[in-house]
Amino acid sequence: MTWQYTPLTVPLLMVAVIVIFLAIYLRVLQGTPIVRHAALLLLADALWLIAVTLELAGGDLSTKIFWNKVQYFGSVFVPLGWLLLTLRVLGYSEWIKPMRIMGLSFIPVLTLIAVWTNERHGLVWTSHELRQLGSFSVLINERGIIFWVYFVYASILVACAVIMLFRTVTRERELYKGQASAFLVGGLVPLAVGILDVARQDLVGGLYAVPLAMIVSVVAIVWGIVHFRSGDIVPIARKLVMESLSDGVLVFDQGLRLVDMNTAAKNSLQIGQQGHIGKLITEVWPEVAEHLAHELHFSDHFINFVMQSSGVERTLDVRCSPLVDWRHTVIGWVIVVRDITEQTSSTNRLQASLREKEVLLKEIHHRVKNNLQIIASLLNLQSSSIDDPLTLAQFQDSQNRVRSMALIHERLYRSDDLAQIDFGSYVRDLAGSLVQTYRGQVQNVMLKVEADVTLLDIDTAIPCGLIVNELVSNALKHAFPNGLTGQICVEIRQKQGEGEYRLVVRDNGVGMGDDVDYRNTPSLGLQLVNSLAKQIGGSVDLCRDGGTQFAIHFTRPRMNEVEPSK
Amino acid sequence: MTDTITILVVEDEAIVALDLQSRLRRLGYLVPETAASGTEAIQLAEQLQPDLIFMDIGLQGTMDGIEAAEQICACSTVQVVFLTAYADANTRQRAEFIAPASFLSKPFADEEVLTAIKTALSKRNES
Repeated sequence: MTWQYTPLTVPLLMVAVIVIFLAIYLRVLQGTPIVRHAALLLLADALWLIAVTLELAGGDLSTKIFWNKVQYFGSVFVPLGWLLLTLRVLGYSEWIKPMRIMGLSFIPVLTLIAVWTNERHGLVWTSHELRQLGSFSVLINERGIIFWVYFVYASILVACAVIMLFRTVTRERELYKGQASAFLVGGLVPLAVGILDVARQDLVGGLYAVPLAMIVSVVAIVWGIVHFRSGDIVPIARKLVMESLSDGVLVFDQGLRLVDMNTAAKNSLQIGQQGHIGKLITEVWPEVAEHLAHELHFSDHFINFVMQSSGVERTLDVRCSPLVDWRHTVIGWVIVVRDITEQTSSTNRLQASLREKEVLLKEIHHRVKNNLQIIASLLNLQSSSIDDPLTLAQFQDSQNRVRSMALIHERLYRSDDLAQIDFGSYVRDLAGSLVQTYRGQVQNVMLKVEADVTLLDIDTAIPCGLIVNELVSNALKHAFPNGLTGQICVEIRQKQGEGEYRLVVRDNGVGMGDDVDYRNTPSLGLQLVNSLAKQIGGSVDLCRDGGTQFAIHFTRPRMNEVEPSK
Repeated sequence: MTDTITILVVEDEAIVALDLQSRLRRLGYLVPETAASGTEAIQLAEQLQPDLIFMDIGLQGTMDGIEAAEQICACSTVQVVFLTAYADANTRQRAEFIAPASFLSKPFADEEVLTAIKTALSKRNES
């Protein structure tokens, strides 16, 4: 071998040494798959550069041809290495499988064999010549068919990587845009320069432009990895987050092919992870694929899905979220699967328990009502032996009081809502019943009930019911003597949206005497009204104009919205 | 007039039954017996041939008031007043199937009892 000096020898060797050090640095300092991969790619680049330098330094044709062949040990694997690195960086590691690598390595290996046996077939180079370029000579090859096959193959691989990186740059968030941009430059520059070089555009004076372009590529790779720490933090953090999620996460591309999934998803769906990446949703998850196909929209939505898993029925809460890029194009879907079997089961148990308690509560109301009926019956039986009209009336009053309470339990018993009753409807029944009770004493009295649908809880409804019972009974007994005609009006109103109530019982009868102090009276009925109003925190106002009007104002925690009854 | 009207009270609560019997008697009706079970009600209905039956729905024994009323009405024109105004939808539907004269809510006042009797008797006269 004879050697010659060229101005490029030392710079190229220095670059090659730097690249080797960078590869070692990356390999030693960071041990993730992406970094190991990048380090291998850099070593291949370094080998290529060293061989280029030595070819350039060769003084005769045979030396140059030898080192030209050595270059291929590095260069044939660079395009494939680029593609694989891009796949790793973009999160498509699952696509990298031994069989695929072997398939993609076929042409590089074939090219390498052909390069070293070219003298026998001339399919890589048909001829070689030395051309003088200033003070030193360079090797000029006449390229054969295998070279072009390899060139097209290498260009396609690098172009694929460049396209994927370009898509990422235009779609991903800022961090990945920077990282992908760096790799894009790293792939695009050698690709463009290689095409131009082969087209004999004679970049850098017709010298070996592609290895020089690799310098840019190397800088871009190192910067992309070191600056963005893409090799460790982001993928590891993302993987950690994905894997630590108890919810299953599946990522589908635009064509509904599975791109990624975490372990929880694998467990939820009872499918193997490796075997399903790249498959259609109909193959991965046939039970729900059809349903999902109708549900995949441009916005988040949820579905509940029941599936059999090892003979056990599982309830899954499935959330589908579209992945939309900056152009508002849906580029895939993320499906989050949450196993809510336990939650559903727990809810069902709670509901069953609640239903049971409701039945029991209804039974209690029923029993209370029956007991009140028995008390009313006892009072009635006792009164049958009483001749004194005053005492008899007192017994009748007591029975009415019991009835007013029983009616509330009756309503609670038959209502779906066991906590509160529609007081307006209740008052209509109660007042109507009282008018019937006193029909023997008053025949010409009209009853008018003006009531909203006012929901009151039992602690308020019973005192209010007793108040209405007392005041309506009083009116029926005293306001219309001697067959006087008149009207009794009961009114219950709730101030809209607030917990303030106004309960009014008025009549247009003879009215109470001015000397009657309703707050301090021997009448048990009025004593009860005052006490019960106090019990519910209300105030009692009496108006004696044109008859008698009792108004009770009270406040209660806000109930459901009310609306006028028909 | 009322003392020619015979009424059978069917109620499993003894005090309520006694009270109703007392009220009806005070109002002038004949109430010779009360029954606490469906079987007893059928026997007494056959024996007394009442004009009207006040029938509670929940009774002692396996037979409820609706079933007892069905059997009694199958061979008689007696009018039935059920002593439960409110029941679940299914029970209410079963009760209405035999076209009772009315439903009477417990506890009841004399006037309500009288109204129920008048309604039942006018219905009987119409039929």
